[in-house]
Amino acid sequence: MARIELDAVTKQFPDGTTAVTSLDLAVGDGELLVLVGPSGCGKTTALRMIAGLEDVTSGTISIDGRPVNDVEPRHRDIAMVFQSYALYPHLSVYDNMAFSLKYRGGVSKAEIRQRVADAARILELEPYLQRRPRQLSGGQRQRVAMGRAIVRQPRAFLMDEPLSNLDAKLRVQMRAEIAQLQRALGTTTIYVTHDQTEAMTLGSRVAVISGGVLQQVAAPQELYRRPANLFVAGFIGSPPMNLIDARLEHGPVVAFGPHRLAVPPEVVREHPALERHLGGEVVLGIRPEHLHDAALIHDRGSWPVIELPIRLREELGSEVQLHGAIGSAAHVSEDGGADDVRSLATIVAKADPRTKIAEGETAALAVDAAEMQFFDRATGASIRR
Amino acid sequence: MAVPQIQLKRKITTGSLLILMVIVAVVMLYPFWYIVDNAFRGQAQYDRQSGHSLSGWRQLFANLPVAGQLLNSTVVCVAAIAIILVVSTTAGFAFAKLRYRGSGMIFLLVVSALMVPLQSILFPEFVNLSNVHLTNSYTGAVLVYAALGTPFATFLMATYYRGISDELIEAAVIDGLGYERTFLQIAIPLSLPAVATITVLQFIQIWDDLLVGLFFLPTSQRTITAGLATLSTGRTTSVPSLMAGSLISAIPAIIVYLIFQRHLVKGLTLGMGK
Amino acid sequence: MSLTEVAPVAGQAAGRRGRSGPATRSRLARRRRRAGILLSLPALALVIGLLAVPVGQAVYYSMTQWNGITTTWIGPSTYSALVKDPIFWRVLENNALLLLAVPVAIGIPLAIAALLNEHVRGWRFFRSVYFLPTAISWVVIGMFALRFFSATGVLNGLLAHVGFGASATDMLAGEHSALAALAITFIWSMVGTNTIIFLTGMATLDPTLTEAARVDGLSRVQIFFRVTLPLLTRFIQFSFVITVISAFSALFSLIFVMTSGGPGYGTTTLEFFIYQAGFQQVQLGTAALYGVVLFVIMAIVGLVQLRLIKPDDGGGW
Repeated sequence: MARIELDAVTKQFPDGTTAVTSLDLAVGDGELLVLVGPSGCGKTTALRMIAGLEDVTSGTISIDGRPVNDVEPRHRDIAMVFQSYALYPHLSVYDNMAFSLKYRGGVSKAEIRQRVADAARILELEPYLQRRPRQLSGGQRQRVAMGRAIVRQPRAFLMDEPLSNLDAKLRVQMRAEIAQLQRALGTTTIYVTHDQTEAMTLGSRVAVISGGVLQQVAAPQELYRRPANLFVAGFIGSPPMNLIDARLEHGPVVAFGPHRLAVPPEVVREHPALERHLGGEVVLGIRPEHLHDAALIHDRGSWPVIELPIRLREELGSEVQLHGAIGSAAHVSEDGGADDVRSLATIVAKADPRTKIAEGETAALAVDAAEMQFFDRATGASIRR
Repeated sequence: MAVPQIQLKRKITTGSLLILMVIVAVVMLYPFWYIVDNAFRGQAQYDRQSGHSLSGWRQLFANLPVAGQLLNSTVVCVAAIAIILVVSTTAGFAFAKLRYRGSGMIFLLVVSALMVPLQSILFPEFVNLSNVHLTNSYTGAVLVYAALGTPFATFLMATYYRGISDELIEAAVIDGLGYERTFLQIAIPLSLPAVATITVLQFIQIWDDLLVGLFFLPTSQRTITAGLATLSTGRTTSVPSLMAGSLISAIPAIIVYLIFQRHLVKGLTLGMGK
Repeated sequence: MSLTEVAPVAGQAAGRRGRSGPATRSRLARRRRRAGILLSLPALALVIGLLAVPVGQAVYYSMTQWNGITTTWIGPSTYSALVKDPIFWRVLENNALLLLAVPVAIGIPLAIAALLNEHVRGWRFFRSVYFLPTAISWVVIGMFALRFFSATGVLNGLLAHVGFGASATDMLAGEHSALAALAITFIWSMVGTNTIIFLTGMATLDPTLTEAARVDGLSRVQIFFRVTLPLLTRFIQFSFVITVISAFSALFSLIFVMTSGGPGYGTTTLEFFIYQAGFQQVQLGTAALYGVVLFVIMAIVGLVQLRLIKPDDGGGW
């Protein structure tokens, strides 16, 4: 069990590309921290630096308070689960799991057998111990990779997208198993993924990274309700938050296209810096789940309604997604991280499946205005201070 | 920040690796240096191991029709490689794309001929060829080289053609091209990388070969490698001339190697990719 | 449109191109077969005519006494006589002893490949240098080796330099030392080829496997022997076959230039003896006999290789 700390860690490759910029992270003892971000954002590089497989260009990585920048991977007492599992093809499942213990030394043969047996039992690998990796399915191989890490009883687990190569159904199942396992073992774990759903369900805290820079690190709920900037807002949540270029007028009223919505007082309280943007351009954020079919809301209260022509209706069984056209542009960011889903000038609403709204109509959508979020158009930061 | 001690340790490791590589390089290159150094000596200078002159070269040219033999080597190489290319591209294409009943077995037969060592068939082959008077010209040797090189070349071409999508071929055929024309107009242009590999591999093998050159060529058409070998076992006492001969016979192959290294390596690795 | 309306239209369209359906397909198949046979004929003719037929002839001649002009049939007893011939065993023994060089001819390149694989700056240059000897004829290599190992040669010169002048010998004068000289030369020549084979192999290895081992606590040396080497099995097998085949055939040129088979029968290997028996003693029947033996040995080596290419390394191929 260990604390892991990254202090202003930067990684620059010999060809000049900077993969990670000044990353500050603290993982508590026994915590499961998820590093999430789009492909190429630097999360795997950060993980590899913690493992010792990459050099740190500047900054310090510490385990239990001791800087480990110059400590070889094998002396860091860390176990890693690779995306491709990295199972030794010429060894049986048993030998794969026992491999490290055998050659690292310090563990008796009896103890090795015991540990492997325990791990095999937990991971339901007992019938496969004598098989070779190529005879196993993807899910089984994944479990062997985990087993190999478990038997080492290390101070921390590092997992690099361990579920990416599995099909969707298996992923959901393994996700739960990993979460339970980590809680049972209580080992500090750093988990890397590009899938925001995995991040939200697994992590006690989630660190969102983009372009090598930490965007926000917080508990999943916090990321969802109070994203620190446009990237996090657009990355967390599926379908992504609607981000709309708008004008903030006195009232305060937010105007986009033909629509004008009053900003409720509780939102103004959450965004005290809002008054600095009066009369200017902002980005309005409202999640699809906070737009409803007005016809199905019995008690609307003070929820404003906007009318938009519906371009597309997608049936998802448990919900219906409506794509409506708005007059102004939907916000398009440069790095395209979160909003390449939408074409210009469309917002998505997640409606109750009983909705009768059809494509081609102009529908009335009720807006849960209390869930409005505002972002600075220039910096992308949330207007909260 | 990487601590100075670690940086130092890294430098030492890199340094010692470099030293090791240099040592191996010296071992690999020393023979060349020796040959070059001593090719430019006279016999007396060779014995003393000092001084340089061109007398070794003069003696070489006096004892060996160097230019003529270089020419012979070239002719034999070009002719044999031409045959090998024609034969292996056609057969390789047939085995890879035009599979017919029994073609698998025939392919196996052709490729397994790889295992036939020249020495095993040497004398029967010689008798056969001299009976049809092919051993008093280039022809006999060229045919033998071609036959020896065909199995591996065919295997290479077949492997290579397998990598071309079947649909490409079928599309051409449906367009009315016919299989033979398809081969000529579609497969051949695509074959260049593999052809280059085979050419390089065979060039080095044939140019450097001794046995066939010794046996199947008349003295007047002898290759430089065979000429050099007979010179060395003859009564010449001038070592520098032998060194000069070695140098001159090695240079073309070295040049081909330097220019086409990549293809050589590729040829080797393709042979592994079963 | 009903189906009956569609069909005639389709038929007409097909008619313009030629008939469609089973008729055209089999015509295409026939043309394909014809082209296939036509295109594979030259290779087949060459191989059969110049390789297969002589093998058969060699088998025939191996049971005769033949001097190139007259052939006297003896029969299969030539083989039983062969087995009792001490020269035969001497020759085979030479080949066997030279085979001892094979592990070295594999081990050294493995080490060199591991060295290059560290990718120290400039490694590609060194790789080119190490591979260079493969372009050189064995004749040329033998030329140098002769001067290296002889009484007044380079080796003795080096030894004198270092102070071991007293142990200077003419390695080519003694039977076993001559074999050793041949072996060393052979190993030197194979370094380039085998190093490239192993380097290529190492490049195909999944890097996460060695990374996993590093994180799991193994030292570099352990990783090399426990992870890298087992995964290179296929390549080692391939290199083994190539090296053995070279040991049986390519040595001819070396022997021709360096020792002429001597001293005595000291360095007369199978392939050289065939040349000697046929060319110098004009006993072509004997040459054919040994030739068949050589062929059988090569065939066995080839077949063994085929069976060995069923590795248990699981992944990859």
